[in-house]
Amino acid sequence: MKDVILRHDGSFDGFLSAVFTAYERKLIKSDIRLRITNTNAPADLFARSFELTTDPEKAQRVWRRLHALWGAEGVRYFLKGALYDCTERDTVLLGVIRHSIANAPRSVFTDYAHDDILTLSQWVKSVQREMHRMKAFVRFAKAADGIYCAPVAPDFDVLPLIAPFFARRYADQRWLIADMRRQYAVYYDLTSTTLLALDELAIQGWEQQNVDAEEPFYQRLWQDYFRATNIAERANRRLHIQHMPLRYWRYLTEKQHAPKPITTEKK
Amino acid sequence: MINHDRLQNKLTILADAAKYDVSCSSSGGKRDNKGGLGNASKSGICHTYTEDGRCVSLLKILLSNHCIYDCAYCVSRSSNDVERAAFTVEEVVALTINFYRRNYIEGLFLSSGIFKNPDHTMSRMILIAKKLREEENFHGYIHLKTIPKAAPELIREAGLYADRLSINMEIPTPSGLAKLAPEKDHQDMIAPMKTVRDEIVALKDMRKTIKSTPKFAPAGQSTQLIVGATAETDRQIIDVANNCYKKLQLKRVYYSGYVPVLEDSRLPAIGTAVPQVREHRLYQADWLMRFYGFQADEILDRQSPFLDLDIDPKLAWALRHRHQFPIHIQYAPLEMILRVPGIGSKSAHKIVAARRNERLTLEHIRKMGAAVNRAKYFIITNEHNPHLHQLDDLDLKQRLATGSHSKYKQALSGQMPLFT
Repeated sequence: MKDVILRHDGSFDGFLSAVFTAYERKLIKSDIRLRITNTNAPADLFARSFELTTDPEKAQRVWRRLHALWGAEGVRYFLKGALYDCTERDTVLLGVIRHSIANAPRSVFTDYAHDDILTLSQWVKSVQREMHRMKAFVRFAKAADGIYCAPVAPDFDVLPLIAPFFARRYADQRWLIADMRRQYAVYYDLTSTTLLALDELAIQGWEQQNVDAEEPFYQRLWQDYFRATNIAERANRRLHIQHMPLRYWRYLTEKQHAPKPITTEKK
Repeated sequence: MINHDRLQNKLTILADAAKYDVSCSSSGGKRDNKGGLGNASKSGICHTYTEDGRCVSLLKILLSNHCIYDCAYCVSRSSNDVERAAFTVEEVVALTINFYRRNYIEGLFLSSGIFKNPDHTMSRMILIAKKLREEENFHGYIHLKTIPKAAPELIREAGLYADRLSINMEIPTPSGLAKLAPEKDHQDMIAPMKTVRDEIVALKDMRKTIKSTPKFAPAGQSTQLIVGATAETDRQIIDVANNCYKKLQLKRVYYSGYVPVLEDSRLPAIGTAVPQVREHRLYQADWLMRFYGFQADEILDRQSPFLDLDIDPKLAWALRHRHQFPIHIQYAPLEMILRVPGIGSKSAHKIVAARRNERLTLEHIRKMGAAVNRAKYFIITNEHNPHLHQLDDLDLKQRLATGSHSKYKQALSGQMPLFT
């Protein structure tokens, strides 16, 4: 039996439409190895491949079914796993959906002996870790107009998930966190958060902003503090990097030699 | 107006002097923010890590390193020739707020050398916390170090502003403390811990009927024990910690391998290695008491007062209690799964959840994150397990020790002579 590959446009609705098609055409049979993937994935000569168009109606129906199956909590869990970025993503998600529907109404998210369920749990863990790190590794710099700005580059697209956290924590300050990898930012204006495309920011002249007069002073204090708390007799670079991987250093104030400029840099 | 250069200089001195305090936890607090600045999240957040690998979540500083006491192990002791400095109340407040707004920290950890007298020092610290809460509308985490011999009223006041209060016992045995800190007494530390404990309990009770009762040190209290400055045994340390958890209801006990920075005939010489492996084993023992259901007297048996340095204490327990193994992964109660070497608490819970619908194999539990290279000698699964035959082998300990702890090999060889 040949593999069957369903290709979609890469959006989440596209994925859900593909799931709909899989059930509609009864491709969900144990003797078919079914994969769902986006159109950018490499082709496979030995598989039958279908290009699907995204149908919001079908996507809606699948999504409603999954809601009924998992509840709000379960859907949140699944969506976190779906943020994990890799080529097998859709096939694993499909596996989770199949296993859930086959075992309904029993809850399946703790079936760690099932490969897809276990993989999903590991993905959720990775995404949650990245969320947690992005709460920690954001470094705001104060601009002359009083807005606190921070560039970050998370592995997964977690900014929308953690924006409410920052809005609660910094309720009385305007802030902007820019995802440099995905070229957009979250802006909080003391009442609500909005998403802005980075080129839009450029038009508004964000990167021409001057730094607040005190900003370099506090950055230097933080760098001093970072150095003063180290205990040289206990040096442990391996552990240091394990906790704070090198890829995050670029935007960490304490890892810069000179005070970091406020501008969100351009490629 | 703040003098920049002077503040920078003070920060370097007073952060350096505070760095030997291990605690940096910002967890367990739950403070909501209503329109002001900051909140405390239940899990706590580590914002950065020092190059020695310790987490930094709080701005940990001394208010002053002037001290009237002369405790041998402390860099701020009165007879030590170091540069002295003291923050003003305004400076600490400005540092905390400005660091917090830039997301460098979760809050403030304020300790101090004792200047003038204990009450005066304690009142100054309270003033800072009060100003942060009431004038700056700050709801981030505040950890205040209780000053030994400060009046109970002051400790009660501190608990109204702080998320956590702590007082360091430092030297685990009364005799060791008498030798290194002749002006202090264990009772000076235990008395305020009791005040805090009683206050937490009383206000918790009161809140059941009167909802507006203020919160008192909602993240509880903690303490620190210095390891290896005096000749105490691990058994003594574990007993002290156990008392702290059971009788004084502490949230955390920290262990700090002594870093020899002072020339003193009562202390290990400068250049002596920091007992990091011993410290690590004590933390593992602590975890066994707090999360794995072990009693203090199970961790070390009567004859041996020291933890094994080359294997972890859970594995050591299992090797001493081989008659309780193997256990069946499919049927054993959670408490026993938690006692299997190589299975941590997360994998244990996963195993118990997953086995309801599936007969588990070694491969399953490996994928769930257990260290099967250790666990395989102690568990029965639904497939043939050839390693079980080795459970009674006399050299099993040797095999397990060489198999899994390579990262400490070097530290071990350098450190062994200290404890033998």
